[in-house]
Amino acid sequence: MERRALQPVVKELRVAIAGNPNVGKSTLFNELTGGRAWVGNWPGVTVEKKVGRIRVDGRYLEIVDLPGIYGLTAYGVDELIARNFIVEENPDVVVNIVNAANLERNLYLTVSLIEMGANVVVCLNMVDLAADQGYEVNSEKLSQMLGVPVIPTIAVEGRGIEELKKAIVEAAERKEKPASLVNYGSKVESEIGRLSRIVEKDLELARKYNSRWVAIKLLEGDSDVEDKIKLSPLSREILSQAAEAREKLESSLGRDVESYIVEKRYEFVSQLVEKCVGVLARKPITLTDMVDYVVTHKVFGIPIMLTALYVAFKFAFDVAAPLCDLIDWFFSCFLYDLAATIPGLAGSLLADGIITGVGSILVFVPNLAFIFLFLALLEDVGYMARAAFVVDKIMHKLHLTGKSLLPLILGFGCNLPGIIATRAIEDENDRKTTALVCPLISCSARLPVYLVIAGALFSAYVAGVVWSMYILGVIFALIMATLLRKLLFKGPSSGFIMELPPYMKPMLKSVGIKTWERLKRFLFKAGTIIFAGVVVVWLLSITGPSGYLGVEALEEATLLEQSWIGIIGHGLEKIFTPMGWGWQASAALFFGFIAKEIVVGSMAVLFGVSEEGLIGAVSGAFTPLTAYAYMAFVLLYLPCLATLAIIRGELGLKYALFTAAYEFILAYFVAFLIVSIGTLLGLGG
Amino acid sequence: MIPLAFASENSLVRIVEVRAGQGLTRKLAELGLTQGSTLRVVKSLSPGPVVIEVVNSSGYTDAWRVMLGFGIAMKIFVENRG
Repeated sequence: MERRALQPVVKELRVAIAGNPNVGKSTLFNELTGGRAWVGNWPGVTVEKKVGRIRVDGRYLEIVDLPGIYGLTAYGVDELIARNFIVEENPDVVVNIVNAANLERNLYLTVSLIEMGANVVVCLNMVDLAADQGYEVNSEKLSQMLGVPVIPTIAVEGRGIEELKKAIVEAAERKEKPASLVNYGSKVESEIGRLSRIVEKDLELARKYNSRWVAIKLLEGDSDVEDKIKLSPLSREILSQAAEAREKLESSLGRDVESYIVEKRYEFVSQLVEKCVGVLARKPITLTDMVDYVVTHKVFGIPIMLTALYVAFKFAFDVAAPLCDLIDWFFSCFLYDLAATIPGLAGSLLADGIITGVGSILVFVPNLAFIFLFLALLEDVGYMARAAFVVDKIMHKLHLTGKSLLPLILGFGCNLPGIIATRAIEDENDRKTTALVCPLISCSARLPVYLVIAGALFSAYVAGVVWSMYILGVIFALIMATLLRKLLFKGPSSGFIMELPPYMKPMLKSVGIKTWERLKRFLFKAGTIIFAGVVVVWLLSITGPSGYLGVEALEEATLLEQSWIGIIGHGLEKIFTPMGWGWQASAALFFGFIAKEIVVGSMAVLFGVSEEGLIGAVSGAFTPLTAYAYMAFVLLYLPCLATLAIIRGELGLKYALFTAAYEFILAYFVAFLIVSIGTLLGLGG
Repeated sequence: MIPLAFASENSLVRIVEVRAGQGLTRKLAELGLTQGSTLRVVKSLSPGPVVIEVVNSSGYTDAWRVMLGFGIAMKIFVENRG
């Protein structure tokens, strides 16, 4: 407030955009701001906050995109954020975007916003879609009945945006706010009047909040508003009067006040719709209905989903393969050879450390880019919502919900974006469980390890053996999820409510943004954690207890054995004695902690062979049985360093350490079991 | 009276009772799912998650569809209306 007083010349208008999910809120935000936005998080939570700034008629507008919400009950984090922003920050204008094709649903929020005392401008979006579905909305009538401006728009085509901007600036000048909209009937109204007069006695409360809104919320028993009241010196009186009023109404209405109030609000909305919406034609059977009939089918739903995902992954890998080869060549031949010409320590650090290490990660970028692109396409078209529906029944049996599907599927590409995607799961327990089992999903970094080892020892059955690893990952993820949900994150799931949007043509921009956002995290980690990790490994390889060994250690196995890495390898070998893995294979696992694909490259170094000669060396070092156990171990043993860092960032250090510990124990147990059972069955030879 | 999770596809049902905590009950009420509201079961993996449409008293059906997971569909009790 003071800040504004100091700058009387350019008063910045603060504008918030509020609306239900899937009504084109982001599109509107981008259209208004021209896509230039500052992106951060809302304080204390991992919900994204977007802020943009524009200039209209010489006025500066700061535009804040609120999370998509259906009401203002403060039930979920999203609703609480949106509500607190409007109540506490008191923006000059709230643009409420509504979907003209779902007016009844959307206007409930509009009425709630107006009731709250917000200065609302309604943006009636998707008027074209409404017309297609046979509805026509009379925006003038609607504006008159609501007492706020209503601007029809088609945000995706940028139509109506200029009118909306003008209406925002005009509304900011508006002094009088619309009178109370919903009449709750004489009994309730008299209590609302009485309570709001008591609230107004506290001038601070009256200045900050709309007293009628506070009174209604108190009658509804809204605990968040009660908490706000508790700060008032009059809190005792207000709260006891509210409780009394609620009791009185409960007996005179013969039901609970809360549902009565919600119902009255809905009744009002129904009247609005009845008077403002003309039905032009009966709703035809849409393409959405027809497609949904098939893809959410009781029997075919899941096979269709698996096929769709398989095709997406297969296609992504095939399309990306030549690009991956190109990057591989660029790093392991061109850059490596270039760096190798630099003499001494610097050259070795660059070639053997950084270029080999970071290069082996960047090789996956095309793969990931295409996987993320296809998944973003499926999301944007509306298919992923259907897939979540189809798997919900199975997930329910595992004590999760359909919402866990997308994070786990993203995990096949790379575990990092999978864990980040768990943010969309509202239920805290569901979210933690999903994030903690996501690293068990076999990411694309593990594939080269399988390929080399299976190629060396199971030449005829490579595909089947590799496939079995993926299945193993899924099975263990589901088993662990059930265990975690039953033992650690107890309690019922708050469940899964999700809008089923009609299928939409994918928007190039939003698909692009989603893909890039996910890829960016991966690149960032490759550039920081993995970079640091490879430098450490390189240092541990060229030094040992006897001091500096020289960069030749990386080329000579006998010298490498005396390095710190060699010591670690021999130490690990003892732990892995039951599995019969040599010190080289054991040490490679240590490298794999930085990033799993490094296992292959480091085995080459440790066996003292080139990557081409690796197949021979590996087939000598393992039996098929110990090799299979080794692959299972690589799948399960530890999330890579970057994954652990993400878990720490999302859930805290405690959970990162827990994940590392449980995965190591699980992996050891599984590998041990494979070797023991295999030996018993006589497969040991 | 059956849980919504068991309602058959394409049936019209009316909510008799929502057996859930205060938070969820309120959230469902805001979505128009409260005692007495009429729903059309668009899709059901009976017993399992459902996709529903809310039918208003005026008979106007929103183009809005929502899916409710198995867990939630087990907490909403409905009676068949044909």
